[in-house]
Amino acid sequence: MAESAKRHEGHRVTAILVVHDGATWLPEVVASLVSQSRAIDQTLAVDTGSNDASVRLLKNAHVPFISLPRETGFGAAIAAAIEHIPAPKGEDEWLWFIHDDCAPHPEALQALLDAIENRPQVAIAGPKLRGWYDRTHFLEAGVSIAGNGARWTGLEPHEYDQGQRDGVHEVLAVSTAGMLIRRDVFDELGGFDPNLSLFRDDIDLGWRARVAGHSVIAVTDAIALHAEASASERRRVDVKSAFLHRPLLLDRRNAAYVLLANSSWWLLPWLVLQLFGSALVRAFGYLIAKLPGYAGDEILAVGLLIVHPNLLRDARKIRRSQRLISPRVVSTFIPPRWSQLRLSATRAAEAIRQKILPTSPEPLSALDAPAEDEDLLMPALSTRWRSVFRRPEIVGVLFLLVLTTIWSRHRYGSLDGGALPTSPEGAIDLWQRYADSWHNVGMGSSAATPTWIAVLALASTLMFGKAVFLIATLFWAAPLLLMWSMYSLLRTLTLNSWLAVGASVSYALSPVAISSINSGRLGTIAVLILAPQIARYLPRLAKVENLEWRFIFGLSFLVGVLTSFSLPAYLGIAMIYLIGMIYDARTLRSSGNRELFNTRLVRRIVLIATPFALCLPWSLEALVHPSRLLLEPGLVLAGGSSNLAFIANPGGAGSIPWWFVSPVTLILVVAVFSSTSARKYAEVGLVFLVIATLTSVISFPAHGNALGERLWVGTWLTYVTVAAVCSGVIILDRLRERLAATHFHHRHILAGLVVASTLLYTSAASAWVVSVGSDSPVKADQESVLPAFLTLTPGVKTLVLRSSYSGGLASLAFFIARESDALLGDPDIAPPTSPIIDRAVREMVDGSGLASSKVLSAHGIKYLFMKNPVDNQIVREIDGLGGFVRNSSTQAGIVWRIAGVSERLVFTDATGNSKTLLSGDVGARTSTTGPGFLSLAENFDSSWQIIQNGKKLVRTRGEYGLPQFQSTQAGEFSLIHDGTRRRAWLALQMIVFLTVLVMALPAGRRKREISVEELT
Amino acid sequence: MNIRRVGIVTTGLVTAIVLSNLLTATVGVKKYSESYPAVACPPTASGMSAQVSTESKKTPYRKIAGKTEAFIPVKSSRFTIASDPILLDSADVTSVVWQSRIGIWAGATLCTSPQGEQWFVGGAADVTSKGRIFLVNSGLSEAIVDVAIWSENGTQSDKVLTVRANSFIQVRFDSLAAGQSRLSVRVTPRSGRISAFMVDERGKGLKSLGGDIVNSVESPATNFVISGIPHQILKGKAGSHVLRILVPGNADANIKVDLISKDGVFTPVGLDGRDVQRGTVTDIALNPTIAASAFSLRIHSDQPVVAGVFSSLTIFGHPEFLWNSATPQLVPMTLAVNGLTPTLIFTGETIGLKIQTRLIGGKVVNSTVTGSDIAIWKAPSNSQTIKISGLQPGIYGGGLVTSTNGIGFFPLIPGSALTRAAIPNSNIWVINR
Repeated sequence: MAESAKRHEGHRVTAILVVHDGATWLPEVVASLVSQSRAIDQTLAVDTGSNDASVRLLKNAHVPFISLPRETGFGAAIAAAIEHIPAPKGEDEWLWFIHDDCAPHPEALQALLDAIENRPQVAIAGPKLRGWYDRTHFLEAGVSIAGNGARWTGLEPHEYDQGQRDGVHEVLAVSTAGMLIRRDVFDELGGFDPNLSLFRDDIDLGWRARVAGHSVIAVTDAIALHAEASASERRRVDVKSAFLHRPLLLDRRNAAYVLLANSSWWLLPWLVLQLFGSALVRAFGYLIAKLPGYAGDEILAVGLLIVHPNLLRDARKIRRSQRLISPRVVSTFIPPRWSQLRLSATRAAEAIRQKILPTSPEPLSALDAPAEDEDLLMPALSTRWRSVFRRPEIVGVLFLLVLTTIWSRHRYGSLDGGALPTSPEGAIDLWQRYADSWHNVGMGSSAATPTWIAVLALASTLMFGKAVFLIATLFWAAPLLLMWSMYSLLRTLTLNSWLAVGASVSYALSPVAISSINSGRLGTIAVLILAPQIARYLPRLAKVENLEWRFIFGLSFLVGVLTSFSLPAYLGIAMIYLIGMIYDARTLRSSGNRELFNTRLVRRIVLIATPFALCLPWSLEALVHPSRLLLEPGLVLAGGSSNLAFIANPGGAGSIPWWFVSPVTLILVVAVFSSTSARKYAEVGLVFLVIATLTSVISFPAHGNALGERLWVGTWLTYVTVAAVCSGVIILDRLRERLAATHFHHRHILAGLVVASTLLYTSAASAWVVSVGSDSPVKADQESVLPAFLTLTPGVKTLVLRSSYSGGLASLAFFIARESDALLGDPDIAPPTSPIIDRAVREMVDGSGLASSKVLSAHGIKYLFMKNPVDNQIVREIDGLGGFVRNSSTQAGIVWRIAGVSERLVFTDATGNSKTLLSGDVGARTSTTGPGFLSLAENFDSSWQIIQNGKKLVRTRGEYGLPQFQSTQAGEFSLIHDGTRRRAWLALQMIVFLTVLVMALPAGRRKREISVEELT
Repeated sequence: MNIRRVGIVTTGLVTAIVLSNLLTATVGVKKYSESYPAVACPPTASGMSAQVSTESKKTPYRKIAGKTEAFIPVKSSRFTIASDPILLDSADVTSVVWQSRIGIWAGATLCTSPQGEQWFVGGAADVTSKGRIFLVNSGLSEAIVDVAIWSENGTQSDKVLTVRANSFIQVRFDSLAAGQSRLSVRVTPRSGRISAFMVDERGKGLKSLGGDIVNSVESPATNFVISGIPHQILKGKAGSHVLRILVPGNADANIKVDLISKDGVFTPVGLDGRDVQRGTVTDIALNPTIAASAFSLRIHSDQPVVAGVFSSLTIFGHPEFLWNSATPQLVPMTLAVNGLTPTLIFTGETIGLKIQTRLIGGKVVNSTVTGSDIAIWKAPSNSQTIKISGLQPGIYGGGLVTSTNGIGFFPLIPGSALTRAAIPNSNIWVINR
């Protein structure tokens, strides 16, 4: 000690303790100062108008102090204290700044002085700060500032201090809590910037010291405990410059100030952008966390600085005068961007991990306290790895993993076929399709893109923009996802894991699941995954009045995602909600409790309306066309017969044959007579079974299919299957014990029947899917329908004719392709073909259409392609008509070039001469040579506009009902499809989405709402 | 167990099943359009005359290669084809075309709708030949046609011919296979609405050896019948016949030929299991010793073959020949025969059919034809149409027409088959993989 004290000869240390409502921590702080192993030469406290017992404590401790007004900032308090301290003579005086919530360890000062002893260049030194309550919590050892203004310590969240960063480190700055600074340097730098009354003043001081040629170090042998009372909002920020007295606002404003005042001038534009951008992102995050005050702080902080440019100009002037070396000297202390990203990613991953796999506190018991001696003597316990395979969840997952790997053997790649159109390459394409107001499908459509496209786009974005990969993965993993979803539901119904897993596997191999996967029913797969999750929460709606709004919006959000994929699914759930409303009305009649009724009604209306609102404007179109409430995404392919639907098999291409009779209906019929809660599930299931059976015979034109096909009832049957699985599990749970305790009767027979039929079906279905069933309509990398050369010219329209055979009869279909096969979402927005084209094609096929080629070319159709196998009779008829010139005849089919002017945009002058004009996929910018009219080969839509010389041209319907514009003069013009309406809808949808999301997410906590133990 | 609950559940489920099945019957009806494609009648070569028999004077037609594409009534139920071929909208009535070179030869054929493939067995490209093939494109788009030729020397080089829209071309045999005396031709349109007609005309110097129109068959077959071969016995000497046969496939064929006539059914010597070389046109002489005036041949082969029978005849003192082609099984049909008095020859194990003849005055005469192996029915002289119905299965038929100019044969097949096409509907499925 003496030796150390000797070494510190020539150093005089004056501790300045700044106190502001610090009574909570002050006793320990004063005690720590008094007990320093290297005694403090002089101590002076500054009280800035404390309202608590701080002053009394200082007096009792005999600490000399001065009092300043309450709004005095930290820097001003230090400056006032220094004025009261006489300048030393012949000694280096060191100022040791101590906060009233910062308690240094007894060796802290000595360690600091030891560190600076042989480092004459050091002007500032700081201790390692640890948490006040969790004293292993490593708060910081030196501090810096990130480009976005964040306070950068380089530590992980709640990092445990075990000496891993010990040593003396060169840093940009150290916290003012425990900062030791040479008085002469402090004076030379002009003390703390008066514009930084609190927060970030430490970084600013360190930065200025650095560019003035001094060194700043963090000494980890010196330890101080810090409660961070102001930053964690344990006390009110009363400093004069604190606008609205909001700590976060002050912190952010000061961070921006420090960056902009100290950085090189050429970095300023980039920094402003970065500050503003990151403020926006953080504000968005705070909004989502329902902390609008913090969000406002973020934006206001930057704004405050921008409205006072003089402050920055003066600050930069002062710093320029103090600067001795290049400001680039601090660049090594500014964290690189990748470090920030890495830290953000780590934090996000940790948050997700904590959410999914929460760390359970170790159960501590005096009875099983570890005995170290015993540990040494006892052989280590080891678990046989084979025991893992005795866990039903593992067995189930492995079984389905093997099964789906074999089942999907034709589906590794870009998937299409069945009801699934081809996926666009990337997420950007999907986003664009979603945002577009005009879609180049058939003769063009302005229909609202279905919301599921946005969901897929979002999911694709999360998968690095690979939409194709997303779809392939979804179809591959669907059985596993189905099992997981159902398992999580069944765990709420039974404790028997084997039963839950077995039932979940059966669900993943149910007829509706197999059929959906094989035939590319994206909507039904989504319903299959989400329905069990929703079913988990539906029973809680019986007491809807007790539910939190967060739960209601969370459930609505989930149903909203479901609705985006399947309006029938929404219809089914809305029916359940409506039944709840009817029940409430009956309760009101019997009890007369209107308040309860109103509470329930509001909540049920929110439950019904929110999913619908989330899918605006697409869902709104379903009100105009109610038949869409029965449709699912993708192509309209025929489902099975009503008899198939009755045995819970939706039928259609790719479905399991009828003789694989699933036990679904049997279970429901058995369960509906059960005395357990299985009955309720069975009743719901049977209602949906009847609906599915009846609706399976419906057929109407939809989704680009003018004739219509027998309705696919996959969604209804999903509900039926979920109900059956739940009923079955409830019946079979503990059934063995019950049956063993009773005499043989019909329950034994029924139970045996249910179990046997389930096992038989699941085994047979497993065998089927890995053998015959794998050859499904949905396949990977199938050959394009259009010949390659018809896909080369952008926007070229080709009329595709294709024959199909069913029931021994041929049917012929046609559609207008635009340089590609059908893409995801195309069927959903495909417009109905105009009667004019219908007639032209019909007459072309029967050989009577002498004007067919003229009509088709007027619609901008350039080619006619008849896909193999061709009907030779039709080929002869087409050949027999004029206007169709054979272009090629290959294995793919026959292509005719349609004679005439078949361009998208045609100008016809006053003399009747037509001229084709260049146009893009949607808009065009070109010119006319004189008066005439412009014909656009797209479906008529009120949003089509041509603006010439600042005026909109008059829009009329042309000969075939296509848009036509009268041009009265020569000149350049712009053709646009006005997407204002679409953008307005999207904005509204985004508002609804964010509102629901914010309401559904857990609320963030203000710092003052977080316990100090959690913070430090 | 609650009986009421059982009743409700059972009633609900049964009602759903019954109702849905009843409703099923009302959905899923697909619409089809049915029509008889218009038929093309052959052009008339220079120096010849041709008439087509139609059902009525109102039957619409248009000239192929004409200026107008509009159909107009023929105005005569025995319409003269001046030179250009015509397109006849004769619906379900098959029109017979009679062509003749006055005092030299005559031939008959049917106006037919375009077909995917036409096989002709007959003709020669040697020094005697004046034969040619007509390719008629009744469509309004250009047609591309593959013409494949076989002869006694095997396969000749294929020709690819282009026929302009709404026009026809004629190709002489000597330009297809110069010097070859036994021909068989296949016409396959790649594109276009093509009907092909073959005329085999022969002469030696200034002396005419006769001529005929060779009718086509749709495809090679392993079992078929050549009906209505005229057997002429003049001054105790029977006319000669030659069976021409081609095996277009990759394997030699083994054939068996049954000769069917009023005198019975027998297999001529050497024709019970005779090997026929693939790829070459083979002529087999037939000199049956029968008293019947007409006979038929029933051919069985282990490989698909096409065949025709060449008969040498003398008509009103001048030499004439006739090509009989194979006929498919007879189906109900109506023939327009105005101006002709055809003799119909039916072949089959058991023959039974009804014939309704509408005479020029509108009178209808009903006849029944029965028999076994072969039956011959001659139409009244003033017949307008002949409707064949009430057919027993397994009957084949052909028609013979004789005039002072010569003799002609036409197979009893509909010139235009009823086509049933689904009405096309818009469906985006067509552009999904």
